[in-house]
Amino acid sequence: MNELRQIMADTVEKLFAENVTRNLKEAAEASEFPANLWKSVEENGLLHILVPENQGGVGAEFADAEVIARGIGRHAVPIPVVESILANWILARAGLDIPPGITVLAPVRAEENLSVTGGTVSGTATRVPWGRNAAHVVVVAGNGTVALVKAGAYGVTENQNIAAEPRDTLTFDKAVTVASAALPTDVTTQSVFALGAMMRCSQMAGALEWILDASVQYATDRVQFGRAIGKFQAIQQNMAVLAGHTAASGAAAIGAFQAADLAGNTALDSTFEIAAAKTRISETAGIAASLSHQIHGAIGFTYEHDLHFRTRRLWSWRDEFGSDTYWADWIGGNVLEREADDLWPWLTTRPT
Amino acid sequence: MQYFNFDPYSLPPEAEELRLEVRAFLDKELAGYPAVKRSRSWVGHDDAFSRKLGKRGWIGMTWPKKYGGGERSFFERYAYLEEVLAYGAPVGSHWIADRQSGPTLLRFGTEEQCQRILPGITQGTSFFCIGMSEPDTGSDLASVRTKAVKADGGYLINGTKIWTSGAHACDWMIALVRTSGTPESRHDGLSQFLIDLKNSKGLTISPIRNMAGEEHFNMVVFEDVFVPDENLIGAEGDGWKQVTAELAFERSGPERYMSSIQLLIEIIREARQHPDTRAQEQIGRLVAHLATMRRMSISVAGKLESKANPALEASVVKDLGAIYEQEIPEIAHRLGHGEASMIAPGDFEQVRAYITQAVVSFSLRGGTREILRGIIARGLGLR
Repeated sequence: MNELRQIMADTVEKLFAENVTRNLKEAAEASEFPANLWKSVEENGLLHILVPENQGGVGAEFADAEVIARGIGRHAVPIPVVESILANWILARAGLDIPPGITVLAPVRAEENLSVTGGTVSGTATRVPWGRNAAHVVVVAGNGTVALVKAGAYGVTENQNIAAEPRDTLTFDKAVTVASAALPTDVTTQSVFALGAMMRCSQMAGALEWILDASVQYATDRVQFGRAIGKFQAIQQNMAVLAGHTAASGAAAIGAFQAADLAGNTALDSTFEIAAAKTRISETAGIAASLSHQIHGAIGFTYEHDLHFRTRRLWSWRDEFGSDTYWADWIGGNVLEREADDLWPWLTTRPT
Repeated sequence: MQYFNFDPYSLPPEAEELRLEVRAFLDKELAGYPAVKRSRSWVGHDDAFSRKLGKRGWIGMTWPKKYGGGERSFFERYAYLEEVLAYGAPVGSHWIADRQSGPTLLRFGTEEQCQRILPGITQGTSFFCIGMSEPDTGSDLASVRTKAVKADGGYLINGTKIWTSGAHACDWMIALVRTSGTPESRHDGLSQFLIDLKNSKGLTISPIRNMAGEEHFNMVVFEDVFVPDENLIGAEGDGWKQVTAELAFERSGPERYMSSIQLLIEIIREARQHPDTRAQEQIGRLVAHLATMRRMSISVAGKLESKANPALEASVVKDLGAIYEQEIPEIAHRLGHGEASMIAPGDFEQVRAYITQAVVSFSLRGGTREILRGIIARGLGLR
C-alpha cells in the first residue's frame, strides 16, 4: 500500500469507527440523514478523491478510492459517499464545476436511459441511491452528454433496498439542467455502470471483512457445552469457508480497481476485471451472510445486533449495478466470441 | 484484523517471454494430442515427452546450474507451469521430482545427493514418487508405522506405503519413516530416505486401480529393504519438519485450480456450436472464478519468491481451487447436453466422463479439504 493509500485508509477507519454508531445507523434507517457525518466526510476531502488537483480535488487513483469504498462496507456507512465520488469524477472529466453538497448519480440500472437535449433532461431513473437527499443529480445520457440537475427540477418517489438505504425513483420531465457538457469518449453509460459495480465490489469486500472479524470474535467468546464454540470442528470448518470467500472477495475487488487505473493510463478495457469481481463476490455474498448468521445464532437475527447492518447490505449490493447473473452473462458473451482454445492465451493477457 | 493478504502481483517480463516460448513448443509438439488425454492434466504420463522438456531446460529450471538446473526465477517456472497445465501436456512422469523431490533435496540433502540425483531429474530421466501415506496413515501423517532400524552402513526398512502415484514407473521414492520411538511419539523420530526403487531387494510394488480406470496408484511393501547411510535426507529425526516445509510448497501453484480446465475449454467449444443462454451465463461464472483463482495464486507466488511464508494464503487457494475444479463437471452436467462417456465419439462427452470421476480426488491429494480448513481455522486463531 502506498503512502497516500495508507493515510486514506487510516483516516477512513478512524472517522467511521468513531462516528458510525448503532444509533446513527438505526436513525438513518428511520430516514434521518446523518448530516454531521456527511459534513466530516466532505471536510476530509473524501468526496473529491478522484478529482484532479487542478480542479480542486485530491487527484488520487481508483485504487486509493478503494479503501474508502471498503470502509463504507466495513462500517455500513449510511451515506452516498461512493456515489458522490463517482458523480464528482464524472463532472471533473467533463470539465464542469463541482457543486457543494450531496451529488448523486443517475441512472444506476443497465436498462434505463435518460435523454439530455436542449438543456433539459427527460426520462425515469429508478433505485437511485439517496435521490431524496441529493442537492444535485449527475445524469449520464446515452448520447455522450452529462448534465447536472438541481433538486426540485425532478420528481422523487421514495423506495429503499433490503438494508433500508434510500433507493428512489427520479422522474425527469424536461427538467432544466444547471450545466451540461460532452463526455470524454471513454466515459459512457456502460463504463459508469461498471464503475458503480466496482464500488459495490469493495463495499461488499469490506462488509465481509467485518463479518469475518465479528464471527471469529463471537466463536471465541460464546461458550456452549463447556467450551468456546470456535473449538468445535463444525464451526471451524464453516469459519474457514467464510474466510475463503472473504479472501477471494478482497482480492477480486482490489483487482477491479487496479484494472480501472490501468484503463486510465493504457489501452486496457477494465470491464472484464470489474465483471469478474462483481460476479465472484455477488455469487458468494449470500453464502457468507448465511454462514455468519449460522455462527452467531439467534442473537445475530435480532435488530439489536450489528451483524444485520452488513448482511442486509450484502443482499442489496449483490443486486445493484448488475447482479452476478448480469455480469456472468456479459463475461460469457465475451468469452464465446473467441475460439475455445483462445480462452487461456486471452486470460494471460489480463492484469493480475 | 487482517488474517491474510492477497496483494496484486504481476509476473515479470521474462516470465511472459518464456510463456510464449513454451506455448509455441507445445503447439508444435502436441498438435493433435487428444482432448481426453489433455484432461489428465498433471497425472498424464509420457516419459519421452519429459525428456524433451528436460532438453529444453524446463525441468528443475530454478535449480543451480551445477546440478543441471537453469537458475531461472520462480516466476518463469510459474508461467511455464500455467502453460503446460492449460495445454494438458503430459508432465506426470517428472512432475513430483520437479515440484517436490528436487526442492526437498536442495533444501535438506547433502552435496553428494544433489550431485548424484538432481542432474537426472533435470534431464527428464529420473522420476520420483512420494512415500508418505500408509494403510493406517492418511491425513494423520505423524502416525506412520514404517520403520527404519540401524544396520551396518545403513538402515533396514519394514512397512507399507500406499497411494504412491507412479511408483511402478519411478526410479526413486522419498519415504517418510520412523527411525525412533513409536507412532505415539507423533512428530518426533521421523526421517526421510531416498529409496532406490529399481535396485533395492525386498520391495514389492503392486498397482491399485482407481475408479476412473487408471493405474497410477500403488502399494509398496518394504521387507528388510537395505538403505545405505548416504540416502538419509537431512538429519535423522528431522523428517516431520522437512515434510511440512515440502507440503507448504505445493499448495498454491496453478495446478491447484487448473486441473479441470480442459473441461471448461470443451464446454466453451460445445456452447459455440450450440448457442445457449444458460451456457453463456455459466461459462461467465466459471471464467470469473478462474480469473480470481489465478489472481490469488499469483499473489501467493509473489510472496513465496520474497521468502515470506504464506501458509494460510496457500491453504485458502488450495481449498477454493479444489471446489472450483469440482464445480466444472457439475456445471457441464447441468447444461444438459447429452450424456458423458469414456468411449463416446465426442471430446466433450469423453472429457466430461473423465473429469467427473477424477475430481473427487482433488480435495484429497496434498491435504484434504478438512485438513486445509483446520489450518485456516488455526490462522483465524480458533485452534
